[in-house]
Amino acid sequence: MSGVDQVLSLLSAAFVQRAFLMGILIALLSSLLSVFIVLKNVSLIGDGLAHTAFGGLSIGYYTGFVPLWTAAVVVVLGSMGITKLNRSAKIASDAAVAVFLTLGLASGILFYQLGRGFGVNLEGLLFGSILLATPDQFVFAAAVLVLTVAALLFSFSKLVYTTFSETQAQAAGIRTGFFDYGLSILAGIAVIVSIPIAGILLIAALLVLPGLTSIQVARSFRQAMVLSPVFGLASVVVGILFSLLLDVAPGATIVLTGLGILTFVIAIKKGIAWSART
Amino acid sequence: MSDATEPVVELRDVVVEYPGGIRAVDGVSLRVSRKEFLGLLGPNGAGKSTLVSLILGLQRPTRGTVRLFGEAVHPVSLRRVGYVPQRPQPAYPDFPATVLETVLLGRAARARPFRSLRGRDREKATEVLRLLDIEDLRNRRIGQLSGGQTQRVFVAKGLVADPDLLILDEPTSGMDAPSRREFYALLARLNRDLGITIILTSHDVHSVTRLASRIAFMSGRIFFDGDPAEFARHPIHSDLEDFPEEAMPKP
Repeated sequence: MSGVDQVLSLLSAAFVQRAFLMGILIALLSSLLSVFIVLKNVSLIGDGLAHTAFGGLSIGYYTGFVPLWTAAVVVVLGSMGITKLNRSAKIASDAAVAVFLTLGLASGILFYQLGRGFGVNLEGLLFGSILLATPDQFVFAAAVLVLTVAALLFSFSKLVYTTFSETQAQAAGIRTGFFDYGLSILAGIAVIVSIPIAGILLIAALLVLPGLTSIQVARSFRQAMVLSPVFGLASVVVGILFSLLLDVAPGATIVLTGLGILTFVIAIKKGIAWSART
Repeated sequence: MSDATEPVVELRDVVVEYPGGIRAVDGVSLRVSRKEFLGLLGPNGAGKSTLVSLILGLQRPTRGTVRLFGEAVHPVSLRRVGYVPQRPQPAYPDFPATVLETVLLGRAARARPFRSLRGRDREKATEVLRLLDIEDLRNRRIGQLSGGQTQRVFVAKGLVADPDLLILDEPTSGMDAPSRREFYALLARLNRDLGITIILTSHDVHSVTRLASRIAFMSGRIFFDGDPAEFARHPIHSDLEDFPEEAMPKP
């Protein structure tokens, strides 16, 4: 049986179909936020939040509370902490992320080792695994996607203005702190939802690559908001297919697919610019 | 009907002190009335941009009071102000927005929850683009514009919400002489024809003296506040003819 035949036969399995559906949800979720995260120059926030989530999950496993909810609470607190430090003129944005990234990673390792591993598939958590997408998580991801879309629509133009220039938005009478904290919390929840498929170490890429790719080609903000989910979906669907074909963790194949799309888009853009000059 | 002498901006004994005891603004009192065109002049580091930040609520004074439209600076009163920043650019250099989308941001503060900007907002944006003679640029991405065109787009963003006060913080920095002249003519038209109160900070002393209806010259403190013709005869102004920077009083 060839690799392609194997993939085709796997596609009929319920857990694979669930992984694809879950992948579609997290692609939409992360790519909608991605445009704002890239344009606000806070691309590293996903990394900080993912490692904070690792700390939260370990605390949850160690204390016996529902790990997903413990991680969610810890990540929301972490996202508020990062934003608070970010907004302080005294601490640079990357330093703020670094503080929470190392805190999350250190506490994650501490509780993971104190709990002697809790019998959890650590590799799956770090790199993603299609086996981790449970029906409960699918429902949770769908609810978070609806909540995120509603939150973005609630005050879309004010959020865009805050992203465009915080100072100018503030001078126009917009309470920009509300949007900074809101975006950071939404990113934190998106991280929690995406961990099963993308993995802690690679989830940050999903919050950056679709938006970054769409910005290269979009001629308007509206186009960027439409193209980002298109690139996000392509990365996740093709990435999961490669993961099945090669029998490797989906996190890596999703991110490499996303990077491949970004490289291709930049090459095409440069090619067009070069041919216009000659 | 509002009184033409109603204070749009009022600063009383304002002091801004930074750590180390450095005073950027040293006891400034200033009152700007409706329909005035105030040219706020001074050298680099004179505190002009700090004064603008205070009026826009971006910064708080160490001492003294700042009032906008008769009340403390507040998000609601700021919605009556159009602001053109010193560097007219988004936080992300290659921000993917068209000229129309950028101008519409000027109406974002008034948008209601779950209501996107369209209809009346777009009509208003088109009207402002036409007024500034940049309607043909409406679908261009802002990163593709020249300095002068970008400046006009940001003025359009400042005007699109029908402001009572337009604040421009050194808007002509980096503009060539013809674009600058054209830009000043536009400001004169906005003040004269639309009755918009304007505060323009600049160190382009000679042009602004000819343009504004009132001049305030500051360097930490206010050294002159009055009629442009009188300022043109003032010793500070005549010293500037030969020594533009060195002649300025230091705080």
